[in-house]
Amino acid sequence: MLVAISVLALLVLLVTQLVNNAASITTLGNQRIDADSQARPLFERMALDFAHLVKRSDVSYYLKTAATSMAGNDLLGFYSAVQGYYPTTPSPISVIAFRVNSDSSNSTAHNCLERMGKGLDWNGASPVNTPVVFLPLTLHGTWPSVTSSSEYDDPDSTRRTYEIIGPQVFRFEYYYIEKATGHLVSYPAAWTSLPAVAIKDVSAIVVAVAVIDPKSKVLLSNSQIATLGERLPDYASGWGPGELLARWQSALDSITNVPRPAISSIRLYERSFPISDR
Amino acid sequence: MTCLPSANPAPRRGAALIIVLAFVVLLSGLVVAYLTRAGADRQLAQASFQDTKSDLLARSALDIVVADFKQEIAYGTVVTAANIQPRRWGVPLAGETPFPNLIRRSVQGDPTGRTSSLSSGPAPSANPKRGEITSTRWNSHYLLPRASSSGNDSAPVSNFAAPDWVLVTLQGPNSAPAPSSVIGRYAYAVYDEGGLLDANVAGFPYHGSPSSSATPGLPLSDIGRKGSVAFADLRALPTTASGGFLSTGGINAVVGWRNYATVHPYSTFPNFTFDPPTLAGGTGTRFVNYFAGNPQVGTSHDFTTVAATTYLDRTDQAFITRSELIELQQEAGFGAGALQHLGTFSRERNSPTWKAGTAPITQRFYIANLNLIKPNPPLARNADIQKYFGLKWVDGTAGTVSPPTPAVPGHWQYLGSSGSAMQNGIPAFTTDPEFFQVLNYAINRTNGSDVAHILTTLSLGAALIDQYDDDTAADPLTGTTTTMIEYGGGWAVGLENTDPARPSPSASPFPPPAGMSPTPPPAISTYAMLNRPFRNVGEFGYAFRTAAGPTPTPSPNPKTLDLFSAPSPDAPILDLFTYNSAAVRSGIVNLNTQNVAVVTAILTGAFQTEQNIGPAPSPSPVASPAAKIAATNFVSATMTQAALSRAEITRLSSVVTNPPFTASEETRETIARALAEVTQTRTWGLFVDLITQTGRYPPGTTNLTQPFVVEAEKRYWLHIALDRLTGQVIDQQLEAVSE
Repeated sequence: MLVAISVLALLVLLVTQLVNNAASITTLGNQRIDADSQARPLFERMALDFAHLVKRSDVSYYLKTAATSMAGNDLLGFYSAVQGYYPTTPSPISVIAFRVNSDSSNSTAHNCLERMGKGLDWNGASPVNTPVVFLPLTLHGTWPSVTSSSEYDDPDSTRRTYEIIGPQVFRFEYYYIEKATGHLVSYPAAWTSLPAVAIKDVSAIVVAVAVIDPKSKVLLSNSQIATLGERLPDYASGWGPGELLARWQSALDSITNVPRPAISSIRLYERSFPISDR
Repeated sequence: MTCLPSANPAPRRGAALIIVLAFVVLLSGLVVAYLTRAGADRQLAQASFQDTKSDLLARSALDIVVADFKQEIAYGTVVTAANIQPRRWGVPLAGETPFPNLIRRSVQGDPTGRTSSLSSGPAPSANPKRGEITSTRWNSHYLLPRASSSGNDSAPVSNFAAPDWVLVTLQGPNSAPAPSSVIGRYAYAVYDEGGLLDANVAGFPYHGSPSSSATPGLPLSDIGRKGSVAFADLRALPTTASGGFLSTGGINAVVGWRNYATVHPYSTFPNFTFDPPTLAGGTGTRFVNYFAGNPQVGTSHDFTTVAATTYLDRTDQAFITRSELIELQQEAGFGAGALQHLGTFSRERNSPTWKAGTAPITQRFYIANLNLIKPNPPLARNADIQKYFGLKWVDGTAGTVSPPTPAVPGHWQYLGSSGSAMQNGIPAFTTDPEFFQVLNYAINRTNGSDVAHILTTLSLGAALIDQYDDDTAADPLTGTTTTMIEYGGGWAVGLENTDPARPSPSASPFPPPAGMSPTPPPAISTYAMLNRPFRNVGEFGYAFRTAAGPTPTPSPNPKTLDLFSAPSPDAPILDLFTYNSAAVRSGIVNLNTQNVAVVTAILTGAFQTEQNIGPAPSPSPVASPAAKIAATNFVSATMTQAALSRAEITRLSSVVTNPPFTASEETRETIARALAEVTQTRTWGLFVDLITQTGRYPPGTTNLTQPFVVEAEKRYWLHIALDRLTGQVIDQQLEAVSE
């Protein structure tokens, strides 16, 4: 009897261990899947937006330049021939912008990656709704929210065209592959300011994001997440392929004042979006 | 002692089993849930992978299609009428409904040798299966004639056959591979977008309600003098095969949307209205200033970018993609058939293709430079005048009565672009010729030193200057308005109908015996004087052209430059001068276009003569039906023998035999005036419509006609401009098509 109970206890222990380990493995796997399924649609959406990027010398872009060097999370704004939100007489062109919301008073979007997809009206269709504007009118002059990590495009929350596209993405960084040299750069040397941006100077935009899965995110406060984001360095010209993510991982590994399980579940992703000559 | 068996041993063993089973179920549930999720994730990743794969295949396929054109250029280094245009294949047979824009499509047996026998179209056509491309989809760009006369249905006429697939293996395209080796397929059609009117430039606004009685919102003279496709009359574009034409409402929607900040339309899109043409500073003035320059002597706008003008926090616009044009058409509600004649991407290297001798002229002579030539110019202008004309101004001398020494009018001396002594011949050149060198090159076919023709060339140049300047441009000493050029061997004079220094009929201000030398030639009543800047090189046809030898009296029938006859010796002039100084520009149409409606729109509204100015000009501007007859003959002639350069506009004009073009030399030259500035032969403006599918044939498939499993599909429209002479890509734009 005692032997049987002992054997049973041992069996239960073994199976419990097995289940625990399996649970750990599947949890880790699920966390990765969570992070993957956060990053994948984000990158897919970005790929679509970049594929339809309006590449003209007579429209403006809001991108990283010497004058807009963007410490910490980056801002990205451009026109794209994709559908957007809330146009009255919808033209095929929209304003697209990406940012990580830095507004700590915004309980919904703080530390989340937001995408602005503002559908534009046809030119002259409305005295109120602004259509796509060409130079000398600029994107950021016409839609100032693209320069902000907290302001929205419309005071009416029901007409805002920002959506949370990466609720677990807390770090957003991009850099370029310069066409003339093939080098990875923070920004091309000629891009001294926004008016100097010539989109055909770059052959690709490389986007890197840091994602924390929902289960781990609850272990951290918003301010801790913001601090985490700040610890991940900006890209610096001269870094090689993959070096940004390596430095991010190294920075994460060196953090000691944040729960380790949360840190270890942070996933880093990078994807290059070609900006073809065509 | 005998141990009694337990009262309930089975339940105990059962408990253990249940506990273990519960754990197993838990474990299994955990694993199954994880695997399910991982499987879903894998499927998503796979879809993403296939999408990327399809995109890569599409870009590779586009490279292959474009490389075929480049190869064709590379093989045809000697440019002839047979190869100035890209080869056409997969087009309708004679007698079938033609597809004027279609250059080629992937079709079995085509010269590439890559295309399979599998059609991309559905079989049967009424029941398309996954992966099959209907002809309606193939014509979603509306570049083929539509079957329907109404609505926006893009289904093409019935004789359109869908392109055949090019099957791709790991080793590349293969026309008949083993089914197991196929990793994807693509099919394409290429259209002559360069032969269309660029909607970013073409068309002008109309005043009044959108109806057939609406009047142009700018002066008829600006439309009639042409010089830009902005002055093409888009009302001539058919929207149906049964007689429908593009409405003025539709045109206003396009122009008001496109040039919003320039023309300040009233009302809102798509129902714009515009000022009447008579309103000073109104729509018409702003429109003409933008497209013809302000002052209207020439323009440097290349029209590849929009005007840097703002109005009510709005700007002008450009069609960024063809899809945008199609969406605008549907929003504005004008006939979808017009899209067959409109493009959104055109580029031209503003260089001549005509050549003789060894002169590599890379840029046409900018007509606006003629505005420099005014008697007694300010010192600051002298350097440019010598650079562009080889001339130097010399003040006149009054002469004396005793001994009788004639007054010498203020005049030009011909020094050449860099000399200081008068030339006795037109100097040789290799690059950057000045005005007279270009003229001599055109009419005498030499870029070498030319002593024999200096008189005729300088005389022609002087006559052109006199046509260009007005009656107030006069020598301050003698008041003569006639351009006089002294060279190392004599004088060449132009021709003005109004010259106060002319001895007859009024008294000469310098009477005998001293008189004045040289004197202006006699006026000719039939000589049409423009006395205004040229709007296009075709207007050079108004200039008196003297024969070789001393200047003859031109009366009664002055011989002017011949820009209308097939064997014209003056024809190359049409290819060597331009109203637009941009090196690469938009809005220029392929002279060898097969799209009759495009040529019709350009010709419609052209002035037959210089005299018909005013709100109700007589003779009236060229009407659309007459323009269509002329355009039909014109296009037919280019299809028989393609034009090598704009110089061949004279040959093509000679096949136009319908009124009002045949009344006189001036009316015959209407075609040169309308077309010379807005056409080109050098650039291939291609629109590549390409669909790719990645996937595979199911294992065990032995026949390529069996269903292909499509895993991802991509469609691109590539707009590309290729320089026929160099093979260089001038510009390109890739449009990802969302369907």
